Amino acid sequence: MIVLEHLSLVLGEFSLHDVDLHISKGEYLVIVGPSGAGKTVLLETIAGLRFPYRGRILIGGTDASSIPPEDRRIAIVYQDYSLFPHMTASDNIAFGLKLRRIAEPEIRQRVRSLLTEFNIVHLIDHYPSSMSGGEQQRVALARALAVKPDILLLDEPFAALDPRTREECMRMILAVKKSQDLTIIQVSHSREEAYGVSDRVALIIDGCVVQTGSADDIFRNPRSPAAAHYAGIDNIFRGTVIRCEGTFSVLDVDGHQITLESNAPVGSSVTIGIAGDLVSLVEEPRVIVDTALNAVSGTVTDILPMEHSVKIRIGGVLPVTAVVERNAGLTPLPAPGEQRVALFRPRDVHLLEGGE
Amino acid sequence: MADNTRYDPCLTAFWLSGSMVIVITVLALLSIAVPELSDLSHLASVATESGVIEAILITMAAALVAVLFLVIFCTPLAYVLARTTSRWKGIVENLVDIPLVLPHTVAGLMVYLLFMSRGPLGAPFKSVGIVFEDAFFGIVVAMMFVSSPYYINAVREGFEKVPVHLENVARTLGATRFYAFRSITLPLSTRHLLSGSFLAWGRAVGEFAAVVMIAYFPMVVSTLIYQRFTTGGLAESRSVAFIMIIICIVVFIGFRWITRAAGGQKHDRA
Repeated sequence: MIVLEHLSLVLGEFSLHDVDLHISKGEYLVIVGPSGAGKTVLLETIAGLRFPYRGRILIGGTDASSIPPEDRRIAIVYQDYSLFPHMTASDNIAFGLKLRRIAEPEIRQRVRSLLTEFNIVHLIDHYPSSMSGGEQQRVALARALAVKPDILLLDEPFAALDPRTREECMRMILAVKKSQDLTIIQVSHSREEAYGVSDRVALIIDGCVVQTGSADDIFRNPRSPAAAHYAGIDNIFRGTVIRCEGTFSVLDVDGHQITLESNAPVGSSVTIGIAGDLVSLVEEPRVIVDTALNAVSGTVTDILPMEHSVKIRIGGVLPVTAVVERNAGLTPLPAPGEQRVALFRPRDVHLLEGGE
Repeated sequence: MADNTRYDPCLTAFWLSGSMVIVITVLALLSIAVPELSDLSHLASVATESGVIEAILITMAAALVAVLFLVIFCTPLAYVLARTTSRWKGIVENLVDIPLVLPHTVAGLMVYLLFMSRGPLGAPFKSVGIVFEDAFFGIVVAMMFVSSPYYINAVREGFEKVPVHLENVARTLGATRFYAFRSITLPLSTRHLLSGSFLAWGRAVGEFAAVVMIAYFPMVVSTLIYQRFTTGGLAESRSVAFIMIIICIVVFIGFRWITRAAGGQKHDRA
């Protein structure tokens, strides 16, 4: 459906480098990445609003570089919804239809049915300044879908909504996508959105696509140190392979030996990542039953409570962060200064490609 | 207002220093208005002189035509300046502002040299029958030249305030760039278009030096006042000045009323 080939673009401080992406028809692709990574610029380039200095975009097999935005059949919804402030909801929705020289009664009927579909009939004569964020969002979506685009681009569409409205809107978009076989490309900041709506996720960092895959691949299985940082992997270390034992390699990380499932050659320098929630904490090393577990001991240095979990950092030669569920422990949380041992399985130690 | 009346020495000092200017303006108005209003029959006789009426009409009409040309030619320029990031933009912006920094006699000389009958633009225009020297269109070009930066800068600022996202969305919905400009950006900049036009109009009406150099005749009000001041004395020029003050105040009130009406559209929050 859409193929991006070696797409490169510079725009002030934003840039895209050699972006290659294939998006198939009916796919829901969520683009994630830190702010300033060039995600919005990428959407605008796909829409034909910005021009790459290198590479090209194929839409349905044809090179789109000479097709102006008004002829691409690609609609965009921005984070700020960008409703036309001098027009009512129905005029906003009718804007694209009027440009298609559709007869007035048919326009009215289509606007009406979209208002009904999005449950906003009461807003028909309202101006955007009198609507809530969620209402503006619906009008913006209705306006984009009114022109029956092949591709819908969503630029952080849920970011400014409260959690309940966000969920509602996610459900709504999924329903629309299903009923119209739309291809959707969405830029997002949030993991929940990536998990909630995506068929596939692409991670962009500093204008480069560093990884594509399922939400789980991106957030649980990052392949590079940069991806691991973005995914919030708490423990990222560099070490040297000192020996191999079958399918296991043993690393030396600042004097600690860490075992992982890998076939990295002896002597190679590697970066590893361990998710904090796969690290467990025990009081005494003697309770270790499975000797195959990695164990790192140290003193609790700080405790950071979060919504569902608590981050506990163990300081020592090798500082390790563990994420424990708030209500999981039968034992009370450790206090700063107490000794603890962090345990994690070799299979939960991920080898990250490339240097730091 | 009620909860804001507590004594604040800083604000009071600012008020005092600022009031100097206000006092001068009020005194200046009074120094013309008091003697004029105390001799209404003289004022009426001046106001009905054909020379005075003609000068006022010519000034108003020339300023209006100048603004009309600015709207037609400079609105697109203001849009380009608001929306592009070319490296030439800075140079063009400086060129736009040049009339602001020039002494008006210099501006007048430039306009004269360019548009006089032997001038590089005056000559070709003359061959098709349009003359600027001592002619209505001479007044218009002089007014346009000095007031163009006021119009362009005000309108450009208005265009810049319209989020480019709105145009982008319009484009993806099927609008050409021109249609997006016409249906989205232009209506959302109405207030800036109006205030830019009014600023330029006011500047044009007040122009003396640049106008007088290319067209002493037909006389605009400024030229008339100066001519009466040098030949007929204070009382003669003061009456014309007072009539002009009244007209400008009426126009100003009218403009305020129009912008309020334009600004009070339903989409604007109070």
